[in-house]
Amino acid sequence: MREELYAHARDVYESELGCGATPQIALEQTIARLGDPAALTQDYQSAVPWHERLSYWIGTRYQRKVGESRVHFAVRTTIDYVILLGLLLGLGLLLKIDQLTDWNNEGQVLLRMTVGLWVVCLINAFVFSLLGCAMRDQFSREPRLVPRAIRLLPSMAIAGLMVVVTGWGLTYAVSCDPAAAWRVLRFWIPLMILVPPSCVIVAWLTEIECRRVREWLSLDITD
Amino acid sequence: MNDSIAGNSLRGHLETMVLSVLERQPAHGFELLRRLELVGCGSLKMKEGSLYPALYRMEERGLIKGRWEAEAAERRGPRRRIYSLTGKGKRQLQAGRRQWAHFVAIIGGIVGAPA
Repeated sequence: MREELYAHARDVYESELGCGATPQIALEQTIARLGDPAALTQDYQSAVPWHERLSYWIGTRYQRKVGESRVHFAVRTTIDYVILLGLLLGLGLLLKIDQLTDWNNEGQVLLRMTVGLWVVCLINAFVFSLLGCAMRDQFSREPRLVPRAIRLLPSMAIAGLMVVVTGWGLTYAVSCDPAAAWRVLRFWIPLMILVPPSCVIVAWLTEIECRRVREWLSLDITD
Repeated sequence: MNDSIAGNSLRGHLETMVLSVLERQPAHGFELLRRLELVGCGSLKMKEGSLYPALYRMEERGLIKGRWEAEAAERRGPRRRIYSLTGKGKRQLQAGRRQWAHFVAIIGGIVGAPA
């Protein structure tokens, strides 16, 4: 709806200019024709269901801000994951509190698994946030297909490596046996193959969408 | 006498009017309002920004279907969404026309105005 309203405002402004109005008068007429901003805000917000508003809020929160460095974005994203994952895992542990207080073998495994999962997820959040930024930057800066594909290879390799690290880390956290962790890695091969191209596709789609938003957010209708 | 039709008089029938306009040809919001103004001979006065929540609700209900216009090289910036009538929208339009005819007949009989 926001993009539609922007497009409509642009059309109204251009039509007012076409009728011979000055840019200032055309702008005033556009605002008058669109309606009272407070009433419109209420109208628009009441039209959008709560789950879409939540989805939008999450989307904007995890979007890299203009001028934000990759590292800052990755740290910001990771901190959110620290808090959210910590709460979820903590809740999970509370539900199994009897196993932990007994401190039998199951309790130890559960605690190691939880901590291992938390650490691995945080590392993944940080690394994949950086990789996502790097991939999107390639899509926005390099228009040529082959050079872009070549520059994406290191990011894809790191993504595949992260799958290995995740698989090894989680298995080691559960078993405390490095040999067992290496043996289990073969089950992670399909993910090693799927994750890197999936990251590229997600980065590409995200960049297309952000490029579109970036263009009309910078639209200056007073020109 | 003020001949403009606005506010609640307009709001209650906006959906049927939008469906009627889209019946002829798909259109985006700006074009839709332009056609309404043309057919209404300039008497329909609505705050144009309030059209889009109405279109959003109608699309959610399956009465209309929207698609983003293809990007054109000469037009950059925000895209327009083109709306077209669905089968359900056509049935709703027929129902809206019957309701309006009934409304006009009843109210016209009461106030003594010809339909």
